[in-house]
Amino acid sequence: MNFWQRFWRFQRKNNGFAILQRYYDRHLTAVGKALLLLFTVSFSLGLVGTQVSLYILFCLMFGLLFGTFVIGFISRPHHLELIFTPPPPKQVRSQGEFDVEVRNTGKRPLFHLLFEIQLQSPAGKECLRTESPLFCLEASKSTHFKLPWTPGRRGAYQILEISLISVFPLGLVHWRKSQKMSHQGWSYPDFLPTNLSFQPSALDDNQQAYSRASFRPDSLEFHGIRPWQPGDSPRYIHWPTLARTGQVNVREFQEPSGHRLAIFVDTHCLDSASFETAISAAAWHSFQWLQQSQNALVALCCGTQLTPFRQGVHQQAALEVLATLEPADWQVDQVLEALNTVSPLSGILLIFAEWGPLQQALYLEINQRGQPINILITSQTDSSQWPAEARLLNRADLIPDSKTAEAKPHKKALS
Amino acid sequence: MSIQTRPSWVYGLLFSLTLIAWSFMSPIRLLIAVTALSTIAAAYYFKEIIFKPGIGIWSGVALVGLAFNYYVVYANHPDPYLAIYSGHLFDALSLSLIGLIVLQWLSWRTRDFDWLLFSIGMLLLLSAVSDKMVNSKAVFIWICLSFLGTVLILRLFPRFKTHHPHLHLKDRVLISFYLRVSGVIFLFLTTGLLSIRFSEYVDNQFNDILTQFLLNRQQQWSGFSGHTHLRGNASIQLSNQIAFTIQGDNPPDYWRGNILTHYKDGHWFPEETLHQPYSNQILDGQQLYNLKANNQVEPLRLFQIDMKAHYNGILFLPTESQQILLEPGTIAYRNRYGLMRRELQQNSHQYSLKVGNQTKIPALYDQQMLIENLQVPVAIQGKLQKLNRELITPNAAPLVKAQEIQAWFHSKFLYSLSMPELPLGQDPTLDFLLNQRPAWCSWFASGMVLMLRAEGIPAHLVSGWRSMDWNPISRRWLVREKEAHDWVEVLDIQNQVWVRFDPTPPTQLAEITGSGQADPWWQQSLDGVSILFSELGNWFQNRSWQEIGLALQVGALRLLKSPLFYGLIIVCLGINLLFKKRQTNTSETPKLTYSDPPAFYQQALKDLQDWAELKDLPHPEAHLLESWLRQISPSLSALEKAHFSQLIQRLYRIRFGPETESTRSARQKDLEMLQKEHLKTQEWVSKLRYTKVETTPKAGDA
Repeated sequence: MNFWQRFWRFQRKNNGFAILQRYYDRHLTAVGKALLLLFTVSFSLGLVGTQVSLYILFCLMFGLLFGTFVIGFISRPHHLELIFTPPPPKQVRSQGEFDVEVRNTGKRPLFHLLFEIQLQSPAGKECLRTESPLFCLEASKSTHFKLPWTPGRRGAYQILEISLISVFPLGLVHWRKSQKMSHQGWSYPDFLPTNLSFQPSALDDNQQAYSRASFRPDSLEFHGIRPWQPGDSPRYIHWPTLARTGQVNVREFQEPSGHRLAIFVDTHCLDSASFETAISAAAWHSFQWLQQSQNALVALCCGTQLTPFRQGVHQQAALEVLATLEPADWQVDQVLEALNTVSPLSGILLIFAEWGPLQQALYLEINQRGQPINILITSQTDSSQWPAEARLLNRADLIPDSKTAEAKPHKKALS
Repeated sequence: MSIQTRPSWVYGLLFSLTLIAWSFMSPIRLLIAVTALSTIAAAYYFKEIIFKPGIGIWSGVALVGLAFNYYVVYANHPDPYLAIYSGHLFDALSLSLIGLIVLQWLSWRTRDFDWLLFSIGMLLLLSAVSDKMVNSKAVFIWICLSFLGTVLILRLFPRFKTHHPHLHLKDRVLISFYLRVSGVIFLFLTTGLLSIRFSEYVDNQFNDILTQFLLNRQQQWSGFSGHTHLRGNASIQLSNQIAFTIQGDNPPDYWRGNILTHYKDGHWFPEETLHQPYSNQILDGQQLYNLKANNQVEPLRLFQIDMKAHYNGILFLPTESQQILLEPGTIAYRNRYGLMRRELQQNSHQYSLKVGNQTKIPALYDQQMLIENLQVPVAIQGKLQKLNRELITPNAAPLVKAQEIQAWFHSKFLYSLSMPELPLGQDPTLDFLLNQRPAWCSWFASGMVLMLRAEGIPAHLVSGWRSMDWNPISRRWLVREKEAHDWVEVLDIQNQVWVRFDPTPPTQLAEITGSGQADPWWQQSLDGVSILFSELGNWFQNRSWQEIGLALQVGALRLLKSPLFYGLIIVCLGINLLFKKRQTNTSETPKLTYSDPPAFYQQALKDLQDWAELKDLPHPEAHLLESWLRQISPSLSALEKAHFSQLIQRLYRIRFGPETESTRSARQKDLEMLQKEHLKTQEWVSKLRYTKVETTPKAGDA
């Protein structure tokens, strides 16, 4: 859609006041708005009276605004190339940066340039802009604009528009050169590290056989290709090599030898702070286990929704699931049913945002199976009712350590 | 978003400028201004005081302040109106605005809208409406210029980062920047000042209509009309419109238009004799109209007059006129006072006249004319005679008496363009004379004529034009509507001539109306260009196509004959050459040269190839020096790498570098350097070869 089509569509969709308001907000700085309003007032006051003195300020302001508009129009950013490098995923409350390369493809230098990014973040629409203007971008040269951004909430964000703004000469008017974008990025939940030691139990033969049956072939890892032998199912023929070489090969899979771990995140929660703490703790453990354990399968059970993740492949996918997690109700039966699809488990971590009869019932059911259980509870309730495995997880207690000692390496791991 | 610091000193400067305008020539306002400035100065010492009112509280404070000032502070004072504005309302608004501005200094401000600048600007706007400021418009213009100039300079100044240490800008870029900045300043000054002129012009055009409509105050334009009406509650608006133009050297000052002889209750009417034909002869060709009774031989000056309006076909003539030249077939009339008129269809018309030095007009009077010129209303005659007795020397000659009356007007009266409301039942002229009211020329002339008639001296009022301005562009004298004037002619019975007297104080007249003073340059240029265009239009309109073609032919021939034309061509060619030369100098577009690689380059490559073969190194993808460098660089030392890359750069500059005058010599130097470098390269390659010879047996041994 070209400029005029967009322009016309906007005119048809909005009423006059909305259009004026949009242009006023979008194209004028604070001082520009004040001068324009003063200009309008002086004109109207002069119109009703007969005193020329009232027009003097109006006329001089007309000169000032006219000069600024004309020279600003001549020097507006016109021929530009905006090269946007998609940034790595960010974490909540950790500072990230958007980096955009701007190349002046015109014949004239551009002055007093600001850079702006408009994004639809989970917290709403945000507009990021460089603080002080760049003095000059010479013809056929390029520069990098870096905009720091700290996501306030977890979730997916979308970059809607990037613009280069010239405020030359007096900083009254914004002359924009915009580019529509559709880049989507993630702001993952922040990590809440615990010093939880977790010893998963080894699986016996029966359990291994059961897991093979239930997860084949999706749960198996692709190992390589080998020549076809009689008895191999044609389902596993690797067609690309057949097409390329004329030899029939089959795909070979390897049975994972790691543990099966489950993390249950309690979504039945009214207190958003403890819910966020639970998510942060789940994010930390899922990421940690997926990174460290060999061939581990981590099943993330958020309420009744269960998603299995493989080590080395799905680390960021697990964080994406947690980033979009919303509070929801669950029943004990439903959770058990979901957990059955990945059993036998070598360990389970229950992260409860609160402790109540529902949570207690789930704990008792899982405890009967004899799997190693760890429980983290993120809200301060009556701890006399808690089972022996339960531990209180408080963000305020843990963050000072985590910030200095642990948060940094994980940021590196993310990038 | 909000700011919690005090405003910068720029705002202080702007506020001070605004307060100067607001408290101009008013001690009480000055006191308030000083208090406001002291309060904001104190605010910088108490930085911890920051109010955070919302928009509701802001509006409340503003409204309560306005109401308090309007209904409490100014409640018992008479309201001075300026045009249609209530002075009290504006004072109350200004006071509450000052309060708001001071409050804003002590409170948080939003980043979305600069309320402080807006409020200061509003105060400046309101300060325009005060009697002090209206009377000194120039001061207000200067204050406004400084205000917006400060905004401009201080918005611009922090952005001059041309000498930032991280910037290495080319001169071209800096020139571009400064050109744009000066463009802003130029546009600001020219557009701002021109639009002030324009709004003044618009104001001149519509002010009287608006005033009459809004205040029911009668206002009339200055200009020539066939009769004069004197009444109170009226004012004259000066008009700059051009009435007619005169071509010729030193035209006389006074140009007669109409003679007003009949007076009644402040109204002067002409004697309606201008419809009588001057001559019964049928006019053919150019005719000369001799106005003078006694034909004296004197040098005559020729003037061409171009009228811009109709004026009932009246031919304005200076008192010194001798002959008029009219177009053939014109029907003309003349009355006993020497006035002339002709039948006209169109608005604009031209005529020529010849003028001598005699300023007195021959009076061809009879008994009826004497009676006409001695008429005084009976009701005021006694009072006029009483006034005359106080002023005039008894038994003096009539002209001496007239001079005494004129001197009295010059010394005792003031010139003014407005006349206040006059008491009912009193003759306006008599009221003017007895109260010595400030008035304009018609009143002076009317008063003098009536005083002379009461003394028994025949006199009448002449309506016409008094002075003119020289326009250097069109080379013409311009008579504007504001130069319209009334004066007096007194009969000198002994010499049988009409003698001119002007009772209007001349210096005051010149000061107030600006007549006889040079116009500003912009007015001169606008008028000059418009006159020249209208001349051109007239010229084309009055000629047929054949005549135009002929004129062009004659003009072209004349041009070809003149040596100036050839000189001009030579100058133009010179300028053209100069520009061409400058163009080639300025636009140094580098051209790429694809010369064949020099022999030593090939030789260097061959050496490298031999050496690589000896050393069993794979050949690079391209047979180029830098490919070789990439290939063999792992086996080179850092120094050798640097040396080699320098060599390659030089080679490339020679092969593909820009081909310009300035680089040609550098290129030559590079070639010379390269020859030397090549020798070095050869040494270096042979050294490598030598090492290869050394290393090969070792490898074989291994």
